Amino acid sequence: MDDLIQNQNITEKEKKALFDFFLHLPYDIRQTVRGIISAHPEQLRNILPIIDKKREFMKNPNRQLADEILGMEKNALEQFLP
Amino acid sequence: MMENFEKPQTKERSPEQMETIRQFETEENILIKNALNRATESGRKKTGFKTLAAFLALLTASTISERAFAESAPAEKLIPETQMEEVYQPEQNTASSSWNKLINQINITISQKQETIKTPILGEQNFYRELSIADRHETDIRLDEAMRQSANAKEFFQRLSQTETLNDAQKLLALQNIGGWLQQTYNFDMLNRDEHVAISDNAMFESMKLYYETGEKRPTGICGNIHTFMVQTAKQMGIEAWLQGGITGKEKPETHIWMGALAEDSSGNKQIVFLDYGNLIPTGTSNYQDALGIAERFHGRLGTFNSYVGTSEKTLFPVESRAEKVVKETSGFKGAEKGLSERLEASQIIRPEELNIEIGNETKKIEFSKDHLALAYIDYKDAGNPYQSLESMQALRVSWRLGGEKLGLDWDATILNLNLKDLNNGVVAQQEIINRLNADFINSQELNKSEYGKFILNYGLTLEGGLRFMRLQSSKESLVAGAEGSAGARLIYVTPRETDKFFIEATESGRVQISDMQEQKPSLKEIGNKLKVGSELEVRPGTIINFESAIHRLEYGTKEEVSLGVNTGKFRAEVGKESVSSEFQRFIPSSEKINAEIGYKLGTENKPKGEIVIFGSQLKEHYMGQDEPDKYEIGVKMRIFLW
Repeated sequence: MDDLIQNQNITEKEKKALFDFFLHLPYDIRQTVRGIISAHPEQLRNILPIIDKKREFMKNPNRQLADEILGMEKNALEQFLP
Repeated sequence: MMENFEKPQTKERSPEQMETIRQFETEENILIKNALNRATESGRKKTGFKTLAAFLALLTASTISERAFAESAPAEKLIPETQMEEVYQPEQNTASSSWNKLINQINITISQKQETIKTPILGEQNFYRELSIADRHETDIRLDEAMRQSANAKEFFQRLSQTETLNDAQKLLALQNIGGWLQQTYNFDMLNRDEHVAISDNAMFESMKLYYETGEKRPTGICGNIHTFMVQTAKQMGIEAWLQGGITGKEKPETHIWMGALAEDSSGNKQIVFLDYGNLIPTGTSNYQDALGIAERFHGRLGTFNSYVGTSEKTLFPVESRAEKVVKETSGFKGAEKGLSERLEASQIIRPEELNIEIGNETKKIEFSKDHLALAYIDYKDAGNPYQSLESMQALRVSWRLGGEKLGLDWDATILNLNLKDLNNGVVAQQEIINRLNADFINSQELNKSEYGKFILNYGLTLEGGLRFMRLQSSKESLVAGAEGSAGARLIYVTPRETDKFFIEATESGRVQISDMQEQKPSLKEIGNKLKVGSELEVRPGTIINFESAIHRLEYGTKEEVSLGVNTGKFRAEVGKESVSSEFQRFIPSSEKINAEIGYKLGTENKPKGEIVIFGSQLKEHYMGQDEPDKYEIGVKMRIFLW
């Protein structure tokens, strides 16, 4: 995993965010997610801002942040969909 | 990006906040489902679908993760209805999809064993071929003198100790006579009462002398008593001798004890012979495993679970014929310690979901494992080795595997159709049922975690027992049982980046066996302990080197193991060496085994489709007085992963 992160040349903050993200996943899902990220490292750039916003939302859940996240997710999804 | 990565303080949420989270999760799930529907409807290409599915999986995972992070709650509790597996299914509609619902893996192994097959000269007639009439006469006279002139066992032994002028064949002839006379003193009441007591040498001698001189049969002892006296007698005559336990009886199987000895035949060839009362069973070999095969052919039964070797004072340890090895492996036995060690490494009880197909030159097997059930069919055909008492075997094994990851109970029931060779090149068909019961406990605990890494302690216990029904019904004389257990722990250190691991493992094992061949009291015996160390180091990104070394202190000597492996993701290679230094080379050989395997993964590194493994081994064995020809095995294993 470390070499993947280094290869992606991501920042220390992003690296830490990724570790925290993994840390709180159930073990079996962690393996799946690890496999997904290894297979699709380009997704890191898409998912990390969303994780950042979700952390903020989970600390202080409110409608405005929820909408912001859903908006970010919709925008990100557009690039995959016709 | 992130401002603060420290774990937030847990605080109670208001009902409104909880409702906001619930709404958010519902809306996110709808978003994910809509995206999946749009992708499906638009008939996206597989690669595009996989990328989308990967991103959707990350969306779900990040919600689970961040909510757990904020609430300091175990993430397992927060898994939403849309499971990870449901979202990330890139291989849908492929050919393997029907199989992957059943199993995770298909293994196909093709192997070839090679060894030199020896042709023994068997039979009592051949053993005494060069013994002249004068030699036979001399033997009779010396034995008659010893019998008539001795008042007690001490005098009898003393007279026999002065028979150094007799050759081994003459001494064996004398022992055969003694065995024949002692058989006439057999105590059937003791047998019927299942009574096992030690009987003095004097009592045995007096009864034998009484029969020899008058023909009167005074019931004295049973097989263990009689053959213990015969071993004492053989030793006085300068013959190396011991006791051997097993099963005899083609029609009515029963546990039995007879004696073994090392002797030169009349042509001067040293070999292991067995004496069963007055019956001589020459084996033509100093290889104990092979000698047991000849005894099985003589007795018409395999000794499974009852094949122990012992002195006149105590039972030593189990020994195994080629046929017993095949039958035990077929019935699922692997030894408590080996099973425990696998679980200490895995930190849990593993229940594979796979299809195994094995094609060897003697054994062919197909095995299917799924959840709590496994089914195997095994077909064995001997390659023409006279020391293998099994001509052929067909077996069906049904396994129930109950329990979870920490506590497990396995029950394997194997129905065996055995075709045993007799010593006249005939074949006897027998049916048996062997039950294996295995109980496991395994636990894993993280002891300490800091910026310097973490320590994990895995500890467990395994009990493995067997029950053998030889007439397919539970009558007393048809049932033989065996049991052993092992307890152990593995301490693992994992470096902060989780790239390197070091471990130390210790196990202690014991077995229930009879104390000696006369009284036959069940007793718990320590059968060995093991100390193992190892490491797993990432020497450069993606390249891992494994090293393991173990020393076993066993009841018959020491075993040392060392292995070195390298794994680069696509390729892996491993070499290992196992050396046994036996203190009882008469029964268990000292040996040296070298094995190697090379594997190549198919598919991508992160999602391999399978692996091709080429493996091979060389085994050198040394029994006391006999070096065995090297044995080789080579094979190819194909593993297919189903996603």
